[in-house]
Amino acid sequence: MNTPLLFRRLCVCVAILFVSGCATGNFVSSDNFQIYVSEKRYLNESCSTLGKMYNSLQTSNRSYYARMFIGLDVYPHPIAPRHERQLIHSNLNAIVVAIKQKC
Amino acid sequence: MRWRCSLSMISMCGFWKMLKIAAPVLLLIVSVSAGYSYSASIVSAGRVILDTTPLSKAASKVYAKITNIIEPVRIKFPEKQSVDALKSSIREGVTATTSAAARADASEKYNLSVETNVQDPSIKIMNIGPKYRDGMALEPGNYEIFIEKPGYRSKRFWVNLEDKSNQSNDVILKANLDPLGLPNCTDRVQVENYAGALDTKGGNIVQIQADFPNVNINDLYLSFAKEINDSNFQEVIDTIAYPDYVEFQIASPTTLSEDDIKNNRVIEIDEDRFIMSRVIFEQVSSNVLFTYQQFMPPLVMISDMSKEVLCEHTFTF
Repeated sequence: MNTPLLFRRLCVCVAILFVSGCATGNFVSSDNFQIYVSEKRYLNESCSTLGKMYNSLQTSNRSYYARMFIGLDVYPHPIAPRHERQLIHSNLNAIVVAIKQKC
Repeated sequence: MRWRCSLSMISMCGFWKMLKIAAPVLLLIVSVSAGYSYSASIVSAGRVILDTTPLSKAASKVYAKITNIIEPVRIKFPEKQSVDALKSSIREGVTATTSAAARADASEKYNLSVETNVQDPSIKIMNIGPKYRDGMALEPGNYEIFIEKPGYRSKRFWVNLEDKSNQSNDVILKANLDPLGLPNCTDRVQVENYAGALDTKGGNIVQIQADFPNVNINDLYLSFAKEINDSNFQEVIDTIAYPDYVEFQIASPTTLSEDDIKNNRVIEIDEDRFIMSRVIFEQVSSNVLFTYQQFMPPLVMISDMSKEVLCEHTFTF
């Protein structure tokens, strides 16, 4: 497979994109990124489940539980620490909102 | 480890439609600033691999916890929500109107007609044996109507033909099918956090959101589920479904590892390094908020994203 053909196909597929002089260093993410967590995902849970979820995110295993709540428990790779903190915080906020609204 | 990329870097290959396109060729050109530099290419004949190797077998190690490949009809609403789901099944855009024809008494059947905005749609009544035909006679009861046409988002909903003497026996359902895709896509798509992730401590998260105007969540997620189901490289490992919120948790393979990059390898699909995705549909009044979060393995990087390409290849459900 010749290189020009590869390039043409590459241009089509793009999710891969161009880094012109991309980064130096180990940067983690773009600025001001906030992971979206929906309150509706938790509003449908029962109050007793919400209570358990809230408590689990207060424990030392909160990273594990935050992963579990969003289906990442099968995902073996680490998440960047900044995002992991965001995930815990965002999920906790959504659970608190849900508890206030329905319990 | 410090990296400096001279031209391009990988890889959003988890995104369903994109991976379908991207899988055949993954090209990586990297220069490593470690006192020397080189250019390398990694090419994977991904499509061939995916076509010829049953994914369930190849990915069995990774997907040990996966028990279901999603099918729209197998999505189960939680028990306490199911009643509400049925009640809300006749939706905006799907209206049942009766003509001023003769009134039906309790023993009579209803004559059902379905009218749509497209020509020659496929119309099925899913919970009975006989094929649908215009004006077909039906006993009073609940019927699940499924309407589809290539290029349009299918509709699937319940209609209740009640046994009441004050109704006419001619029932006309009007159901409009929306074209696939997202109108004015590039204006509506928001992409966040696409840069970065060269951090050995952990992978990056990319988030894409779009607002689908005037559409029902059921139509949208069913259309998406069909697209997922038609692909053979993704596994839906869990689904959370409520009347106003549906979430898919999806695993899809990727190709890159740090070792591959360093050693300039020609590699095959590596199921041990998969991308985890969450796809969320959320009804917000008459619109649906679509959220896509992609959890990349460490050292896989998204450098930039083109809304045009996303719209062309991704929002096709």
